[in-house]
Amino acid sequence: MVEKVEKQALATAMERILKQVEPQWLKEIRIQAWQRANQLELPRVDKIAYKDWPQFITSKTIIKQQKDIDAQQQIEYQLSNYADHYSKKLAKSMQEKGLKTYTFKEAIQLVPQILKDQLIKMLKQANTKTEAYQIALMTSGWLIKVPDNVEIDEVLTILTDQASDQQTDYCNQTIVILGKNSKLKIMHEIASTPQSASPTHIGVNITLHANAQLQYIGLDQLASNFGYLKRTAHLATASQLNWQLVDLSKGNLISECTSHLIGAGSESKINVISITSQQQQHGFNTKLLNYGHHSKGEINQRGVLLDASKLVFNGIGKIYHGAHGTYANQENRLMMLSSHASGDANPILLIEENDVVAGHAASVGQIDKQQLYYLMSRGLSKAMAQKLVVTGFLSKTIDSSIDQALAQRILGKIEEKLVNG
Amino acid sequence: MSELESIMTDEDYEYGFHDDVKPVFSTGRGLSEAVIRQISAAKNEPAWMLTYRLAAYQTYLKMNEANFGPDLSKLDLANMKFYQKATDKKYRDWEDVPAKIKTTFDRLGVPEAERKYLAGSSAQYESEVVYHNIQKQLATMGIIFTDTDSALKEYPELFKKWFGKLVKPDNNKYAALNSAVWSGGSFIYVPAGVTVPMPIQAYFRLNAENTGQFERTLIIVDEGAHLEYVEGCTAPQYDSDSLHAAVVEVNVLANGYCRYTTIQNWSDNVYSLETKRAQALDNAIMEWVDGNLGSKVTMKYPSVYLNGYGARGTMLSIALASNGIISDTGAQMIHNAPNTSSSIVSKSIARTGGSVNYRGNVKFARNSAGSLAHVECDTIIMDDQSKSDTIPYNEILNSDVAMEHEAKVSKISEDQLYYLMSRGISQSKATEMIVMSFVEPFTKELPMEYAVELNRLIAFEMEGSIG
Repeated sequence: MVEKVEKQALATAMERILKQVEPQWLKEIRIQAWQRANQLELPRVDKIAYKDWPQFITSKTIIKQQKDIDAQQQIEYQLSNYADHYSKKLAKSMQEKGLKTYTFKEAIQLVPQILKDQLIKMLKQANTKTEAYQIALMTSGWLIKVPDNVEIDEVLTILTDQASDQQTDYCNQTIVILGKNSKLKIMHEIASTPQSASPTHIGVNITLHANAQLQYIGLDQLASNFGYLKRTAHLATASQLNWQLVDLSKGNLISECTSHLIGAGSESKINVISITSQQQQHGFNTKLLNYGHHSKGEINQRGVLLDASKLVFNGIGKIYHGAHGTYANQENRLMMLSSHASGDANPILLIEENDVVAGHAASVGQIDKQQLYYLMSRGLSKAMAQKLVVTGFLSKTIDSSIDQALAQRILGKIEEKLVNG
Repeated sequence: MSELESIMTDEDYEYGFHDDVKPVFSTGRGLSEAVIRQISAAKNEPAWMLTYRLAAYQTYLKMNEANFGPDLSKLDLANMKFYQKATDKKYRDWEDVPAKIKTTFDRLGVPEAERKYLAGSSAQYESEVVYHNIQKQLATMGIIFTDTDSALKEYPELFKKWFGKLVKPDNNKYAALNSAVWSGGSFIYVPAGVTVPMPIQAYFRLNAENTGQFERTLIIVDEGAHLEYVEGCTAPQYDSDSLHAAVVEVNVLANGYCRYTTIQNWSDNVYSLETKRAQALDNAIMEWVDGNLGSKVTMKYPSVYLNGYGARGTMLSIALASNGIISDTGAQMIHNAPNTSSSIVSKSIARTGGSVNYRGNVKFARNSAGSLAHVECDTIIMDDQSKSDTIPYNEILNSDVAMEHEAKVSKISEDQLYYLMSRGISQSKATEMIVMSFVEPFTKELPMEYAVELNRLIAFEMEGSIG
């Protein structure tokens, strides 16, 4: 039933998008993606039965509602995108160094070749229905490019807000390209406000050329009933990518993050923090694929479960034949704060090569009673002590290289979620 | 060196001989409802068993292959011989067993083992148990050790009470097939409070080509009783494939103890697709000790359902896969009661193009407060032709539990190798020593003569494996 309704809604959305004024090459890519989507299956996410949830169905009523986004924000984002509204406040130093940022529409006009190459590459690699739909139906997003040999030390802050009460279909793509020997830090906040039944689809596509370095912080605070986040990176020789994903979403969520370690000596770390509460169900597919020799990958996932929520961590490390001297490690840890919650920690290793060091660990436990007792014996209330222990558990997964102020902001948001659910 | 290596590695599978024993009864190739009626009639079974078999056959027809694990599409079930009986009788005395069958088992060492000190010993040849003995002392203690077919006739109530209670036909396709055509296997009942003083042993041998062996083992360890059971499996080499699809059910009642040891050394044309499941009631202990050295494809994930308060389940396993062998094994620990504990230790070695996969499942159900689980998977990949997947699932539905899982995959430690070689030990000997110490936690748990045999087999398998 859901499927039938969704199919109609999707077809209507596709029709509407194809009627837009867009160059022919883009329409062709959309149509190809649409055709592929109809042949492909939904992504496989072990141990979470999400395929019956409404994922594409969208609310029919469009309520036009003005919202002053700038006034609501506590901090000023350099790039923000609220539904169709874009705003750009790039730091001067970044502009001077040559950082390029384009909205989706600007990219079509100003750098069509780069956008086209990216979309074709993404389409080629799309092996699930959801990914292909995200390309066919993409309506907004950013293209960010750092030229070769440019190092940017400040953090580029981006807000992607669905405005889920305004738009029916929402597929957003952020494309990031780092040239050779370049360096960038991104703080990407993802939100959908206010709470609504509209699903959210957001993709992040990263390409790192040789020796490039990127730190990507994703702070996910979706309020939509269903969110699908797909983050993918391709790493060339000796490039480095640190993902720091913090999931505080309030609806159901499927979050996939993949690093393709293609170049020799490339390195990627994926840190994931998730808190689930109430009836929320969150499923993570966190993948490291080692193709290049001497590539190095590390996954650290930590989650806290409250109420009757469900949290599934699938960590997948795959080492391809020929990837000599690779290193792949992962840790998946869950803390259960409620006996009605359901947690899954599944660390999976797929290895086709012998000259490797690969390991994984998983653990599940309750709150450390000794730590709790220690704090309470120092005069803290139980609730406060519990909050501290839990925050301490999660903060171990916050990378030490992250800017202090940002780390504080993340911790603040974590505490908010622990208190408010 | 290389010439020597090639000679060593090409050495034949030790148990690869076969003898031409003509079966006295065979249902021929293929499977149908008529074949199942034939099997049941030949065994002179009660009507309920025939009904059970036919229902299981219907389930089998409806079921698909598992959606995970190795490819089984080359397994030719249409040409399989599903039931073969080599002789009409069961023999109490080893001397009476027909000479040819006896020669086979002599080469496998059955009577020798028994002569030494083993409690009872049975041997299954194709579908039927041909030789069976149990020391008088054990019989007087009230211990029942017989083949499963005889148990159905001689202990109908006990049999019906426990048969098929843990493994239902719809568990998986090959459990359904086994339920339809099962034959042979061991039946053991240990009365309350009785300790079986020595391990009980069984041997399973597939001789003819294209044969399916569907043994059905049922063990009941009554309250406070204690049992150790050991089984070994071999088969000759043919060009065509054979199938071993066993179902084993072990019930350990309150305060009981059972250790079930398997050394599977099938030749490389045998598909070994087994379903092994145990339940442990209040404060009972169930231990699986599982060694997989041979076969073409093995799929086996023994489980312990920890159904009673304070029950404990363990799995200790090794797998060695070479030359295209796929060993897809693992363990399942299902914590269904408070204060239960489990431990899984899995050691795997892949070499010369073999694949060793670990597939596990640890589940803490809602009512499992105070339970603990520990999982450890270590793999050595000897060369760059070999592969290993580690796929553990850990599902937790209770907040008052603790689970730790660790796994490591690597090649032979160069540090260790270098250390040994710098002491004047040859590379091949040093490699063997490292592998032996890697599997030692397993071998030290085996009865002495099995440990010796296993060490020998591993040394034999490891010859020429320096990459």
